[in-house]
Amino acid sequence: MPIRYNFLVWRLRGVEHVITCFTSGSKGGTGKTTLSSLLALGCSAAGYRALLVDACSEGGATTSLLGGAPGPYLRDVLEGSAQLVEAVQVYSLPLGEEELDFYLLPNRGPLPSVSLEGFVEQLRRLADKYFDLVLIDMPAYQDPWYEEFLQRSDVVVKVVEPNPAAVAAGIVAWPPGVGDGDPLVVYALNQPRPYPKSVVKEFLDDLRRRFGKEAVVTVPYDYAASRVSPEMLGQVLSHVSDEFQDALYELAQRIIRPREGAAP
Amino acid sequence: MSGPQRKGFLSEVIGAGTPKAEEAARRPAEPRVVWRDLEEVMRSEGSDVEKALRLIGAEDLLERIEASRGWLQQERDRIRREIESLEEKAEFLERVIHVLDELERRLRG
Repeated sequence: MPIRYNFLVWRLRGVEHVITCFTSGSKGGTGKTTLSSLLALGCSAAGYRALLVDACSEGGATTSLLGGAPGPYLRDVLEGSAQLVEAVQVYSLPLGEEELDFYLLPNRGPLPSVSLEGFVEQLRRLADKYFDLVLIDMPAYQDPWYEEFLQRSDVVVKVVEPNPAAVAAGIVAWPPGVGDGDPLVVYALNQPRPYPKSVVKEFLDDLRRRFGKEAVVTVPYDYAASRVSPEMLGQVLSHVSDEFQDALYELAQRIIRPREGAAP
Repeated sequence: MSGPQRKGFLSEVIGAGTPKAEEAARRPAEPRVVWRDLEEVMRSEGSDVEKALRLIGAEDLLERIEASRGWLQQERDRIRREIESLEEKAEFLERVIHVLDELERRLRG
């Protein structure tokens, strides 16, 4: 079954190696893994190389997309027992007669609380050579050590659901609010489960009032997207709604800083 | 449908000889399918849609629309067939329910 048409006409302007973290602060289940995974696959379908980095101990992109993966893992790279370039894996998803390649730095188990300076430098060098985008799937965390991922990123996507606990967790996550613009903060008001329109509007208005219209992207509930799994991945890509794809595209455009001098 | 298959590590699959920049250089010029561009070209070049699409580098857009339409028609037909099949099953179950109702009525009556 071919991939949905809209993904193929994605044209990301001014794309360069942007490191983007998907976080929800301490709140779990808001859809970070689903959004970052489908964005990575959408970019691949559009002809861009996106590296998806799984920073979760369990239940992140590795589990969601593959069920599991052989090492080495991000954990090993941070511990210094594996090189980054040796840990990035390439997968191919059969879609009818076509194949969709994607790139994943998998993980399993807790990450060591080491400085991330060296790792992020390596990541930038690797991205400079091989990737257009790097998307980091963060866990819901209580340990402030994880904030270093956010601090060293170019863009932080705060994935929040339209409910008070998720929005509050997103707002207080580093950087509080939208920070000072470095990194760029984008709120993805995501609906991993159906919400009444009036409730979504209430939270959308609130976030826009606080942080400005440009800082918020609404992602609709999507029956197919909420069923991402290794076995269903091809079906999901073939059945996600136009509205969901448009929201992902809008998110992609918000996180890509237009390159200086790029065509408007 | 089978899930993702592992192709190998980045260094094995891409290799040092095809970094992003080289690959990008080989990548054909990407069609910029932007309606604003198309409208601008058509204003200056006339209303020849095929020529306008060629000028903005999206000459295969009509083919892709055709391919998408073909797939959507297939999907539509498949869904219609599924609906028909489900309706037949529902009708059959309806008949069975009716027989059970009748049987119960006779047993009680």
